[in-house]
This record gives sequence, C-alpha cells and structure tokens, in this order.
Amino acid sequence: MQSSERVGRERALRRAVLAGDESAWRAWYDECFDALFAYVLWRCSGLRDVAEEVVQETWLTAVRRVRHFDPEAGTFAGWLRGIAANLLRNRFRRARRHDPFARANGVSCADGTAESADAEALRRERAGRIARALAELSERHEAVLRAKYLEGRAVADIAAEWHETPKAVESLLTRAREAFRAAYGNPE
Amino acid sequence: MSDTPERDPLEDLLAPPGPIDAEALRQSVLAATTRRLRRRRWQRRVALAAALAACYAAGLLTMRLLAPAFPPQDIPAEVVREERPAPPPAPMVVAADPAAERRPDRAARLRQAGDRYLTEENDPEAALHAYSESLNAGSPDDSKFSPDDNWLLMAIKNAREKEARHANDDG
Repeated sequence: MQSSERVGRERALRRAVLAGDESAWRAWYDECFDALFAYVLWRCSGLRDVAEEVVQETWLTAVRRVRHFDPEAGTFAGWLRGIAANLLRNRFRRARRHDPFARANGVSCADGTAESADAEALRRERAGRIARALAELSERHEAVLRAKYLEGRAVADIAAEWHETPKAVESLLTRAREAFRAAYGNPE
Repeated sequence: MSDTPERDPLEDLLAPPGPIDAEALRQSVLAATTRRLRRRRWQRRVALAAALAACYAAGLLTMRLLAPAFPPQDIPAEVVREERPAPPPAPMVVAADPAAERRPDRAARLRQAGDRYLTEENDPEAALHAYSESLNAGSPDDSKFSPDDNWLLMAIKNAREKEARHANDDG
C-alpha cells in the first residue's frame, strides 16, 4: 500500500474509532493482532503467559491512547509494537527485583515430575535472558534482528525497504548480533 | 552474497517461536477493548448531554438575573371593543347612478334606511346621515313635523327649522 494511501486509511480508521465505531476498531484489530502477538511472543522468547499479558496490556493501552496515534509518523502496527516494547522494557526493569520469568519454577509442569519442573525452569530462565537481552538493544538493532529472524526477510529486501545498501544492512546485522550476544552472554 | 553465509549460533535463540493458537486471547482482548470503546462512546454522549444541560441552565440563570427585581404590576385587562361592520354607505341608494337622483321615492327610501339604522342597527350616526339626505332629497313638505317622526328625525327637523329662521333673521 502506498504511504499516502496508508496514511489516509489509518487516519480515517482513527477518526472512526475515536467516534466510537466498533467495526472500524475490529477491522484494525484483526489486521494487527497476529503480527503483534508474534512480535511479543518473539520478544518474550516464546513464554506464552508473559506474551499474553503484554499483548492484552498493549491493546488496552492502544484503545485508551489511540487519540495520540499519528499516522504520519508511522504505521499503526509500528505504534503498537512501540507500546509493547515499552511495556516489555518496564517489565524487565521490575524484573530486576522480581523475575516474572522465574515464577513458574517447579510449579507448573504438566506431568509434575522433578525433571520436567527443572526443564521448565531452565527454559524460562533461558527465555528470560533472551528477552532481557532483546530489551537492552537499541531500536535499530532490535529492528534489524526482528526483520531478519522474526519476519524472515532477506538482507536485500530489508535494504530496499530501508533505502540502504545490502552491505550496510549486513554490517548493521553483524553489529546487532554482537550487541545481542554481549547482552545475553556467550551462547556458545 | 548470501544472507546467512555460515551457521549463526544465535539462530536458535532468535528464531521465532512456533505457531501458537491465540484465538481465545484474540477474542477476550477484542471483547475487553470493544467494551472500553463502548464506554468511551457512552461517556462522550453523557458529556455532550451534560454540556447541553449546562448551557440550558446557564441560559435560565441569565434570564433570571436579567429579569426586573420587582414583580410586574397588574396589567389591566384589555378592553375589547366589538368591531361593528362598517355601515353600508347610507346613500347606498344614492349610488353613482344619476338616475336615482331623480327618483321620487328616494326621500322615502332614505327615510326607511334611517329608520332601519336607528331601530335595527342601533346606529344613530348612520341614521342621522340617512335622515339628512332624505330631507335634502324630499319636498319642503317632508321637512314639516309629522306625528310619525321619531325623536331623531324630529331633532333634525327642529335644528333645520332653527337654522332657517336664523338665516332669515340675519338676511
């Protein structure tokens, strides 16, 4: 969709939603839900309970603050991602005192055995580290990793959309990986 | 140039999670957000109604403040005068027809009209006019007093007689 066309459409949707039009809201919601959920799930490294909470909070924030959404500044999906990223960041700040990723330790395993409880705890601990590392990245590093790993796009494709050369994107991707590795600790 | 020239050790860590059925979450979040939207729409309507009510109340208050402090004095009931239809021109018989001037019964008809104005219509003014015209149109004998004359006609004849006497005295 052309940018001006997208801006016009999202401006009309925003106006309709502000006027209380439920069908407009539903159209917007259906359009963006899957992508937002996939993004948050990726940022939470697959921890479904955390992702669901964040997604719910994101949508409630969006419907409350839709007046502040500016279609000229970016897409609605991008605006939602920004809200979710902020919520995740805040969550990780709080996590320094109380780790939300660790709360399932040893308590919520389907078979109830000690081994599976340990495995679940390890999985959550690892997911928590990944999520925290992603939250520490700069916006640009996070964006290039998202485009590459979550959206599965080719470097040339990212470069075309960002109006950059593939070499520049490749270089950015390398730096983003290094930043992630540093934030996560050595994964190897 | 390849996108991933060698095995990236971060692939596993950054790989997207597998597909997860989120239909229940989708429906519950949609319901929650729609509820909020509906509540906001209701709040907007309430706010609009409150604003309109406030404007109305302010208007009433302004009227009250601008009204005179003392109570309005009793306004006398308006006297309604009954409008009588304008009398037909007395000399309705004296219409623009010149031939009517020469008719011998014109005086009698004018007198009858005067009688009708006085007795039936209760309109002495129109009767006065008709009687005067009758006397003008009639013969000198008609100006003499007659037992059939009513009070108005007698008064007119009396006045004319006095007028004629004064005119003779002066002449």
